Amino acid sequence: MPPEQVTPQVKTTEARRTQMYKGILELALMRLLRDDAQYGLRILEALREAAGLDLSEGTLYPLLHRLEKAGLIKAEWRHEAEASHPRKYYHLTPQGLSELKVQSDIWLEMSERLNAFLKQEGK
Amino acid sequence: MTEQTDIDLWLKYLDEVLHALPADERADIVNEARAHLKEKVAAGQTAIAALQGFGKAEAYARPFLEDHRLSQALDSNGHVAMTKALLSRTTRSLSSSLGLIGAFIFTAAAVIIALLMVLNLLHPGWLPHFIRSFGQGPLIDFITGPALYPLLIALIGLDLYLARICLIGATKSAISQTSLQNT
Repeated sequence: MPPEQVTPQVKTTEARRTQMYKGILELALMRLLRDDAQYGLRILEALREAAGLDLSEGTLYPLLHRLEKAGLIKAEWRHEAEASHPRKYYHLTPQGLSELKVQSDIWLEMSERLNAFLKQEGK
Repeated sequence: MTEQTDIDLWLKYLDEVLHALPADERADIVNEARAHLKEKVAAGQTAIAALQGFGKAEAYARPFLEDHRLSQALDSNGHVAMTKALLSRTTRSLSSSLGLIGAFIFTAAAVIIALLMVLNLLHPGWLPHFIRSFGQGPLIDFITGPALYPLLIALIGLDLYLARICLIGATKSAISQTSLQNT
């Protein structure tokens, strides 16, 4: 297949994926930080492996910054023995935990109904 | 050596483009990027590959700067600051454009009502006469009688309040969008 026929299709798929990502990134990030504090690079890997969300650093750090400003997560620099430099760890705050619960409930209900709708047999 | 130079140059430039942020916030962003890049290079990536996820320094800095500008505008409670911050996003954000349009419509309505009040003060009876041309009845008599000025003042207040709601709502919505623009 010639490349000029492939590119528009790839772009469209990526655009659709991006649009869908926007609604769930915050939720996935808060869920990840619920159990343990994590730092940027580890967050990227965990979101990719556990949630299938392949983010770039240019997306992750501004999002972390905004959630921190909103009081949903908190950050602290840690000096660890195995690392040559300090790492900035993020963890969920009590306010973030409440927000995670609300967003999770909405998402689960919405996705359950949407799944059922998408799988409906045509009449 | 070159690897480190590429990263240092990128970080230096990032620090420059973030100059509008408070010094501690700027240092925090740059230090976090530095730690991330060091870790990637230590894991065997080249500087170019490690920097790829961050993109150009200007693009990486944009959501931080926009977030700061919008938060400052919201905290200042100023209509002008919020309008300016939203104006810079109109080409990329529908909610910013709609918020500004709403604010403009309500502000224009308040100005028109204020002008009608002034006209009626200069030419007493003009406004009641104009309103009565649309209909008659006890309600119209009440509106054009003792309730005229209190009603006009209340309408101006309501319009200005709605304009403010539009600006605040659009600014809050813009803040929630800034971090996702690099997605």
